[in-house]
Amino acid sequence: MSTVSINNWLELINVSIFSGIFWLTLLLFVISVFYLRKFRYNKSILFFLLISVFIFYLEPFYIMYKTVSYNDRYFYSMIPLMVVIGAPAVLFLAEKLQFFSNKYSMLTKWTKGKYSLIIVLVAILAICLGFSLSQRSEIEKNFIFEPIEIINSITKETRTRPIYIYEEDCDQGRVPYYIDAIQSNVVEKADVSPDHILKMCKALSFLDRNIFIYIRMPDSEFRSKYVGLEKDFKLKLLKEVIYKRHGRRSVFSLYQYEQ
Amino acid sequence: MIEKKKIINYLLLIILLSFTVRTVKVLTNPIVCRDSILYIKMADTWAELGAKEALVGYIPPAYVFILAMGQKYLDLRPETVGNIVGVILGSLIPLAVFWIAFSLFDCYKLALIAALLAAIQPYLIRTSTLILRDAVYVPMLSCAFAFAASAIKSKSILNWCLFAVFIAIAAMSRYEGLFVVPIFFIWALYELFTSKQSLLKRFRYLALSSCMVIFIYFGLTYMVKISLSEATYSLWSSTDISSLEPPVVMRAK
Repeated sequence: MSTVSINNWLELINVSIFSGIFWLTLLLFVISVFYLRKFRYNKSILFFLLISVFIFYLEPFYIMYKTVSYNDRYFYSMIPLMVVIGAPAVLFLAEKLQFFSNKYSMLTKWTKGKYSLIIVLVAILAICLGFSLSQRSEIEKNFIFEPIEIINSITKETRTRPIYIYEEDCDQGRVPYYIDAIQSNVVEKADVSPDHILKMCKALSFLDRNIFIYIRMPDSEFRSKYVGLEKDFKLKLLKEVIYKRHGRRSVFSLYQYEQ
Repeated sequence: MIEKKKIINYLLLIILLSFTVRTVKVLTNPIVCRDSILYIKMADTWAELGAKEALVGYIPPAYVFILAMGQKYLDLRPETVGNIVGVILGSLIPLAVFWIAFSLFDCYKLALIAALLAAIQPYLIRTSTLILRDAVYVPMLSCAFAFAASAIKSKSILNWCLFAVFIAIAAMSRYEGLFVVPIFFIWALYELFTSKQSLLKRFRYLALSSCMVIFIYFGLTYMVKISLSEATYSLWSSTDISSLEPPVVMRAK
């Protein structure tokens, strides 16, 4: 029996908010197409598309059930269909709120009758969107935080991405099957040796770009931990950076691999 | 006629906007994410040693194949090929979306709005500019839906064949493409009971289109699977969803 981690739950919350936007768009679509009969449509195509949207909507949950892992990227299969559904919703809103005819008309009408319903829907939509974005950044800050911005500002290298590689893969002399930067911090978990780091840099050298490594400890500590590495230590210290993570002060050392 | 020209102009402008936005994104923020490194390496190996050593795990071959062929025959780096393919295919998503919306609503205004939304949708821009399988999968999926909508509207078997081709390519990019096949059969059942044609006619149409979809989809993916059967580390299957790609934490030891 597998368990779902806090990270998964937060992602699920995030996805639920994304779902909120999805449902609201769908609701606007239904109001404009079915309830107000604003647009003509081909029933058979609509059935095909709605079935597709629902299947793609349910798919991430199926994957979560199967693998106990969540990736909201799975949702994005349905975006091309969502924009089709979004089009009448957008036009409907634009026409009803008279965005294009008179900038004051919306203000005078928004408290009247059926417009109030639309305003409420739009407000909820905006709140969901804002909340979703803020949630996302919170998740990134707390759970998948990597000091990318700090590294980028030091190295002036827009392509920098933190990369971790697993020791077994490096020992086999190939780029690993999967390089994970989010869910696991190998540098902390596994006792990664400088030798491992050098192997990993060598494995990545085919990318033909600068390779930066950061290690979650001060440079002195890292060097003292691995005595005798001076000779083959091809990592040039760029900077020691102090930053706060979960409210705690941490230090990481940023190195550049000298090829 | 003038109206039609105007609409085509608008559509071309939207596609140009889509292309420009994606190109700017690639040039200003050229990110290689962690999965990209794997695909680049696989393409590199494929171009040098062939598919046998290149394919690993459950990763479908279409995207890596494109990168590898670009490197092998055009002498371009896989990263560059990935960017070019992503931007070009991504720029065509609004066209597919326009087609779907127009088939559905028979209204140019809505179709243009849908195309514009697809051109500026942030995630669609992002997928087009990363070296990820989504760069091929999403445009192929959109085209498949465009052909499906067109086939439903015109009752054309040829469009169903093209639908199956695009679904097969999508499924060979990401296994999720397979999910569209059951959607087709659910729709066929719906059509069987609701169509206004005579029973014989609708049955003939649905049976023929179903046969073509099955034949083309499974034929194409099976051929590719057979041709890659020697790939040592490939576990990819276009028909077996029980072997979903393992999640991040499970894939990494």
